[in-house]
This record gives sequence, C-alpha cells and structure tokens, in this order.
Amino acid sequence: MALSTKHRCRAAGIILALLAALVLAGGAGASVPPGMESSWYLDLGRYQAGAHGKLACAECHAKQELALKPGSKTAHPDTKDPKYLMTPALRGYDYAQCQRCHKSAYARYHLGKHAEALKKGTKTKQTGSLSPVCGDCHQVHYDPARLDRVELGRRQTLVCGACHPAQAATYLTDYHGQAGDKLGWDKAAFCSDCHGAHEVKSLKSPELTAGVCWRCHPGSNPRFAAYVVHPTLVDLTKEDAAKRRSLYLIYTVSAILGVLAVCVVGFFYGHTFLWMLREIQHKLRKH
Amino acid sequence: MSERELEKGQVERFSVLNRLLHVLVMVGFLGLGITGFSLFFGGAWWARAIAWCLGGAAGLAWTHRFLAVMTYAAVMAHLIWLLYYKLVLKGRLTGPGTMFPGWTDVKNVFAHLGWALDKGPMPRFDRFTWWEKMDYWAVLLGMHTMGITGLVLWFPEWFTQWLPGYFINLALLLHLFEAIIAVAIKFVVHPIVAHLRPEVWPADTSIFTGRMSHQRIQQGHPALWERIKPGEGEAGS
Repeated sequence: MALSTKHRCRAAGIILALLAALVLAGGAGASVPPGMESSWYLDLGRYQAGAHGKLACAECHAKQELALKPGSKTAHPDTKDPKYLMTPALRGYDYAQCQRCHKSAYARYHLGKHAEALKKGTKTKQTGSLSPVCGDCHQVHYDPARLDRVELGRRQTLVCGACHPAQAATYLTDYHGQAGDKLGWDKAAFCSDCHGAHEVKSLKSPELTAGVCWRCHPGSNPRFAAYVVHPTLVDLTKEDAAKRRSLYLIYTVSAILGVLAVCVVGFFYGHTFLWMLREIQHKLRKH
Repeated sequence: MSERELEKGQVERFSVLNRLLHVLVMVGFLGLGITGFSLFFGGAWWARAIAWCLGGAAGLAWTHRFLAVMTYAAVMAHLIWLLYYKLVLKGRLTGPGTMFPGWTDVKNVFAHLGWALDKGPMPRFDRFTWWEKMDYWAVLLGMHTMGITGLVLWFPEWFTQWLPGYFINLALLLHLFEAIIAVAIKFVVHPIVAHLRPEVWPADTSIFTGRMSHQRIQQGHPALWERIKPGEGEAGS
C-alpha cells in the first residue's frame, strides 16, 4: 500500500516534471500547463473526475444560463462571433461566484498581495504576466480534490513558478525544496506553507517571517528568519539591502570555494594520473 | 606506535584501535557521502532510489546524522587515545615514525612529483609517506569543519541565537564544497593511491590486518627499514 503510493508519487513527479518543461516552453503568462487550463472548451470526462465534477454548469455559470433563455434581458455574447471565442475565458469570469462556497479563501485572496497587484494592474517583472485571479492558479474545471501534501506542493512549485521562476528554482536548490518537492517528504515546507495559499505574503520582513518559521522551527527568531531561502537578486527592491548584502557574501564565498575545489581536486587528480603513468611505465620496463 | 615484530618477516603497522577506527571512518565516510549527495541532488533518479531504500527523505536525513555522529565519535576516540598515548604511555607524537608533518614531507612532495616527471630518484620515505600524512590530516581536521557546519544545519534555531541567519547559508556552502572535495579525493584518489597503483596492486591490506611485510617496507618505506632492520637496534616510535 505504502509502496504503491510512493510509486504513484514518483509517476506524478515525472509527469509534473514534463509539464514543467511544457510550461517553460509555453512561455510567459501561462500559469497552468497548456491543454490543462480551463477555457471555453470543456473536457467533460476530466471535468467530472475533478473536484467540481458533481456541480451542474448553472451553479457557477447562472448568469450565462439566464441569458440564453428566450426573452431574457441579460445580454449573452454572440456565440457565433469568432472573436468571442478569442477573448480569454479565464479573465472574463466573475470570480465573486467562488465565495459562495469558498468564503475564507476568497476573503484571504482580497487581503493578499495578488489582489493588491491586480488592483494596481502591476505585472510580474520576471514573466510580464498580470496578477492572477482564482482561475489562473486553480484549473477550476479539472483540478482534482484531496491531493496529498506532496502532490499539492509539487503543483505549487509549478504553478507559482510559472510567474516566479527564480523563486521556484532557488526553492528547489534549498533544503526545503530538496526534501519536499524532490524527495517527497510531506513534512517539508512547500510554497504555501510559508507564504500562505491565498494571502501570498512576500515575507520580506524577518520579524513577520519568524512567526511563519515557528510553525516548523519552534524557537525561531528574526535572526533565524534572515536565512536566505531564495538566494536570488530577482525582485529585490531598495528596502531589501540586508538580503542583498547577504547574497553578495554568499556569492563571494561560493565563488572562492568553487575555485578552491577545482584547484585542490585538479591538483590531486593530475598528480595521481602522472604517478600512475610513471608506475605503469616502470612495470613495463621491468618485463 | 612501535613496529613490533609479529612473526617472521612482518611488523605491526597499525594498532587494533586504529584499524577499528579506520573501518568506522571508512564506513561512515562512504555512507555520509552517499546519503549527503542524495539529499542535495534529491531530483536525480539514483538519489530517489537511495531515499526509497532508507524510507524517504526523513530516513535519509536521519541516516546521515547517525553516520555523522558515528564518524565524529571515531575521530574523537582517536584524539582521546593520542592524549592517553602521550600523557600516560609517554609515547612520542612527533618525529620520523609519527604522523606529525615535518619539513622532510614538504621536500618529499616536490621530490616525488619530480620522480613522476622523470626528473630525479624516488624519495626515501619513512614510516608514513607525505600522502599518507595528508590523508590522515585531511580527515582529522576536515571532520571538525564538516561537524561544525553540519551541527549548524542540524540545529539552525540554536545557532542563530548568536549568529546571523545567513550563516546557515554559508554553513551549507562550506559543507557542500568540502563534501565535494572530500568525496572527489577520498572516493577516487585515496583507493587508487593506497591500493590500485601497480606498486601495491591489488591491495595494501595493512590498514585492515595491521601487518606489513619486510618486503613492502623495503620497497615503499626504505627510511623506516634503515631504522628497524633486524639486528640493528630498536625501532623508533
């Protein structure tokens, strides 16, 4: 039983890795893998297997259903107009509908950084995409329910990483990402464990972050929280002088250590090689 | 550390304690290298296979910590024995028959390199050659830096009570690069030099049996042979 779960995890990991490659190949702005996103077209089989599969269309698309009724005063776009299907389905939907079932998630989203950026209309520096709405991160028609922590966490690395690739890459080389995403340890931290799922805090202040670290590291303090989880200069602002200084130190130390490693290993490999040649020559001469 | 005559044609090169500690450090080092790199390269298929064998990332991490404690205990046991040897047994820790590095060793490094380049004769080594001393001191000193950085990574909450947070990053970097250097040399250069080179092929079993034959000493340690030749006085220690 445990074995089969692990195999499934591994298979899921491989599939997700392939999907990650697709996302990266798909380019800027795509926050879910192509072919997986909700769109004007619906794969009914996959829809029914998903978390929302038991809901009737009208439960979320009530306005649209009303508009289609004869004599309705609500205007429905002309479905025969080819331009209609070219408008983005994800952005046009009224996500206020979601709060009927997902009240706290919806409220938290509006308290968070994504909602703030959406109001301002700011785009991410790394991919140039707009701040996400519900449907950008959640494949509303298809996403499965009851994923385990690791499956969910691995999806987060992909979904969050689509707009924040530098953060995803540095997470994956950090011990949290190595143990959680790569080795599938369910007690390791995934994106939302630190940043929150819907509030998406940026965690730039060590005082705020210390409270977040405390969940897994009791006794953590602001000094502990100044550990650099995402060693990247991307997205740093003038207020992040402390992190910038730490990063320059980290880069300098790793450059020195890298040169040292190449020199030491190079010397011993070269020396051993010469030595071997000499001894082999000796042996051959004797015979 | 004396070359006691065991049976005809053989002398004792390593004491029972040192043989045991070598086996412990060897097993510990191999295990630490394998589990450590599996933790760092968790995305690789071989790392996942090893993690799966040890019960996932948690099993991998705890195996790493267990082996670290074991290996470090071996190093500490050796240091305690050195103290006992010096203070109670009144043994010598410096001199030609010991691991203590001297000016001769520095000269021997260049002389040996010169020999490899066909520019001179093979230096006449004493009980321990310069590379044997290098192997010994690399482990004796390196285990402390690996141990300290490892403890920072094991108990980051405690260490950041008095160290800034980026010291965890620096500890990880030091731990990683020293591991790369150590594994690249101890997993490759050490077995080649100690066992696989034509002069000692197929293996030098003295570290496991503790015995070395007169013939091997004459070949590889002529300066020692000069001192311990039967019938010409006691061996130095």
